[in-house]
Amino acid sequence: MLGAGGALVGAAGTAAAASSRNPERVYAVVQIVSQVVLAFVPALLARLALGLFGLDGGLYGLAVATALLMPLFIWLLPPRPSDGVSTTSAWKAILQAPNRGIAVVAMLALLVYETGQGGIWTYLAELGHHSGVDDQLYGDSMVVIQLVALSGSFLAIWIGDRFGSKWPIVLGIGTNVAAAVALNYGTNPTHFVILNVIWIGSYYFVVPYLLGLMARLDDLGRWAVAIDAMWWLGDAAGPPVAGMIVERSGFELLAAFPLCTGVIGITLFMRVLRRFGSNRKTLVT
Amino acid sequence: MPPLPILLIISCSAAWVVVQLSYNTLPQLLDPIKVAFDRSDEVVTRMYGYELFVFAIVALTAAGPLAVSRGF
Repeated sequence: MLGAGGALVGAAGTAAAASSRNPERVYAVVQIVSQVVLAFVPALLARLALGLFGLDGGLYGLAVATALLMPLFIWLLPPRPSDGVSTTSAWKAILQAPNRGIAVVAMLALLVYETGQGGIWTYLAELGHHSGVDDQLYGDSMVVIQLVALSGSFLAIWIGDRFGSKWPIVLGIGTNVAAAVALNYGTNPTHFVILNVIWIGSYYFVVPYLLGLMARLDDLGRWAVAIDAMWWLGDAAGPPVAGMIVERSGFELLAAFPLCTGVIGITLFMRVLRRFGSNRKTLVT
Repeated sequence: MPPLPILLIISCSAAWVVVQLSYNTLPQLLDPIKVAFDRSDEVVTRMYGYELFVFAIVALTAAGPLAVSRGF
């Protein structure tokens, strides 16, 4: 139920933002606002909800927070009605969306790339332990890391679309993958914190561009929502794959996981960006 | 740069916070859930994977109507 409800709300939000004039900037601002709020949630949950009221308090706390935020969803109602597009079938609506070939390859690219990211996220605390970071330091440092890493979103807002999508996406994913690999070789807490800031910061930088690219493939937001779903699918697949690697080969081989998924992801994204670029040129001429 | 649609940003941010509440906080809740329901690590982490999987499928199938209807 949690997954289904969250998916509906998330899809509505992502689709609504896709129809804005400058989707990259809107996604970046939304990311900053939501992550600033969320950065304090783990600490609050540990100290207040779980600490004072136990598991019931934690779960009721999430329910109350959701209920309080629900009235704000009213502005998700889209600004203009669709022009003769059927809404009876999800698949029919998806099949009517333009740039299908490009969008499907982009979704595959993200699925592969995100699987590696999800795997590292699952073992992040464990990687912290290997770098000499204890539980308390991990919890507190993650608040700071998440807030500092938002500079990636600010950078995306500042750059906007002045350099197009290609180089921000390629450089963003490249930096992100390099940091994910290096996290496996950290030897002290300083390494862990710096690499984490780079890893999460480059991720925050690239997210608005990926969502913005999909929004430009279809300004009704169908592909933006679809790729958002791929995000979660990759996140769902990452933990079991990473768990299998760690169980069979230990942490030494975990670094190879984000490296492989990152290289495949960048290769596929390059293909998407080349085809998207040539499609736009054709439309302009 | 055109002015940002503030209400859209407030609304989308609220939606993303709700979504991330379940994703970001569940790892913290997994251990208490494991103890409360007397389940193994494997079972609760699989449950977490199922949640994300349901999330992905619902988001994917909701994509068409939600994005296209614009006035649902």
